[in-house]
Amino acid sequence: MSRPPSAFFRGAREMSPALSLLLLLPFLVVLFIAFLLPVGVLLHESLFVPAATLEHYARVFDEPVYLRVLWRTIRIAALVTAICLVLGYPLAVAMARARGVALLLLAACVMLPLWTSVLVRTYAWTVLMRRNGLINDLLIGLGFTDAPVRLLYTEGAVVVAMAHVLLPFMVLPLWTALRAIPTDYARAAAILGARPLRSFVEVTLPLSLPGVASGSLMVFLLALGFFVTPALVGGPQQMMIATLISQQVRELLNWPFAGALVGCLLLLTLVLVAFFNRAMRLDRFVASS
Amino acid sequence: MTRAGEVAVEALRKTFGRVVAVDDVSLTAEPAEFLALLGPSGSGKTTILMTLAGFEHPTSGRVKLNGEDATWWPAHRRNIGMVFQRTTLFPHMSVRDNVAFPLKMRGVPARERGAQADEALATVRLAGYGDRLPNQLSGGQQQRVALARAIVYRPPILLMDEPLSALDKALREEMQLEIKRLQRALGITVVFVTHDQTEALTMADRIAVLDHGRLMQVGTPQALYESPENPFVAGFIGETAFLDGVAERSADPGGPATLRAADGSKLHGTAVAALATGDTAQLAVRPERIRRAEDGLAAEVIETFYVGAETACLLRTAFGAQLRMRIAAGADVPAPGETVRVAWDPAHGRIFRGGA
Ligand SMILES: Nc1ncnc2c1ncn2[C@@H]1O[C@H](COP(=O)(O)OP(=O)(O)O)[C@@H](O)[C@H]1O
Ligand SMILES: [Mg+2]
Repeated sequence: MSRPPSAFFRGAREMSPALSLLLLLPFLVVLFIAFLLPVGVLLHESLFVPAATLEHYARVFDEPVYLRVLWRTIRIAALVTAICLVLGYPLAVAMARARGVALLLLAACVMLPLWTSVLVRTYAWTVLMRRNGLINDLLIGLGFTDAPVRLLYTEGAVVVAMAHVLLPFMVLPLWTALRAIPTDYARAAAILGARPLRSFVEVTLPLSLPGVASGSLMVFLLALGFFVTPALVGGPQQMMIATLISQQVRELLNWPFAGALVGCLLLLTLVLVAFFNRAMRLDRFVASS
Repeated sequence: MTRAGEVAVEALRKTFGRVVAVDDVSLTAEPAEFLALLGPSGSGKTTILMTLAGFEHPTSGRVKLNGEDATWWPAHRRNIGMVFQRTTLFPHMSVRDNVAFPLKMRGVPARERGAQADEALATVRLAGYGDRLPNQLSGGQQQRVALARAIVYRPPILLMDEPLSALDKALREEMQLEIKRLQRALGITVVFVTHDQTEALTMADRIAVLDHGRLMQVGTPQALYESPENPFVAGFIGETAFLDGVAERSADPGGPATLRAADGSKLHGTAVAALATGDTAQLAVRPERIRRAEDGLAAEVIETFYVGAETACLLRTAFGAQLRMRIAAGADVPAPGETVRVAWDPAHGRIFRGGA
């Protein structure tokens, strides 16, 4: 039975632009109200309050305090990304090879943290790392130290706790990339004379790079804007940019300057995404898988 | 004693849980021989090949390569070439780097690698394609690159698992000839898995027919076609009609035998195994062996199919068996409904014990 083409349905596969727009509408509305609008307002304030000016941005780069926070944020985010990669890669490899119950268990271990709140997981770290916490008890018990070591409110604490919280965001893209590599490649490499490690280096690793890129990008970007964990396990000396922004807004009510900080963070994010997109051709990978 | 190019499995058995994938198979491919493993899907062909390659290890039995026991050698030590069913070209490497990969693993210096890879590409008629990426080639070209990669280090043995099954018919036939030519030129032992009997018949020096993990028969294409040793081989290779009956007299293997069909008709043939009087048996005969004969078996013509060079007649005997007969172009074609009398040279009617 054939019907005249309607404005909405052109065929089983083909959608009219009108229908696509209609389906996207709820998302676009939320995106606009919850993201574009507030960020736009903030950015507008950073540039046009009290009058058209770049002074708020100049302040970010003039005062060493702010530059230091910005630099620390980038450094911590990079460190967290590196740790997640080192911990997450072997885990993702194990998951890509596991079958049945083993896979289920591994996946649960990775996903479980995602089902508990960041707050709970972060407090768990404060319990572990405080003066009379489990880690200090262990260190003293094993005779590594006589007095409790200061663990909380250090950059190390921030990095470790953030890496723990963000690990799943590294493992999942890595696992997806590794799982998509046909097992026949490893077999072909082996029969062609490659020992297991060589086969991994020559074949598996390069083919998993898109996963490395998307996992690293995801963790790095999440870490850049992370708020809860650094605020709880870090002290003022470990302040990151999100805390700084919140301080400007809530305590100093300096919206234009907060807007300038948001603008810097946003610019950094966009530059990174654009760079990774080019370097790793993420878009091609996404399109092909 | 080592014999370069010899491939053998001895009493090979492989089970996956309760599934017996390969059941007590012993088989040898001589140096420079083209051996095909032929069988329906699930008959254990791939499992045998994987055991030869070292990706599976036998539940019991042995694998010998070049005369040495290689049962437990890891794949990377076996020095054999392999072409897989689906393309396994590394997508992130150029065609040249793919072909040079096994040389790299063997420590050949970079400059020599490139030259040898280009040479191997030329032997599969892909000279000049070295700088492309695998996904810029057609399916047939990709399998040719895979072939070049599998032979570039001159392994004495080459394994292939249905390497042409993803290609269309014309390309497949072209590649069959090319692989055969290359195998002869290189003097390499090939173990070639296929479920396509035509492919096996055209390419192989010898064919091993498998069913349910068991080796049914090994022999030259001619031997398998002309003298199948069991009904499975008779039915699997080429077209065959099976006529049931009971043995009139006892018969020796290879000797003349006669079956009496349900309606009392006599069926003359050659006993494959010894027969005792009254044994149930079946006679297998190929369409091209059936001719019209005044004193032959009566059969009704059900249908005729004109196929150009000949006409195929579908016949039904009085005792219900169906058989096909071929009538050469120009000869007299009976009409459906007519009754004809047919016979065959008893040497071409093979009688197997057992059956329906
Ligand atoms: N890795 C495996 N795990 C479980 N069963 C398998 C495995 N590989 C093969 N089999 C089983 O063994 C039998 C033979 O398989 P295979 O060697 O692939 O046959 P073929 O290549 O002739 O189609 C089949 O029943 C198949 O299901
Ligand atoms: Mg198979």
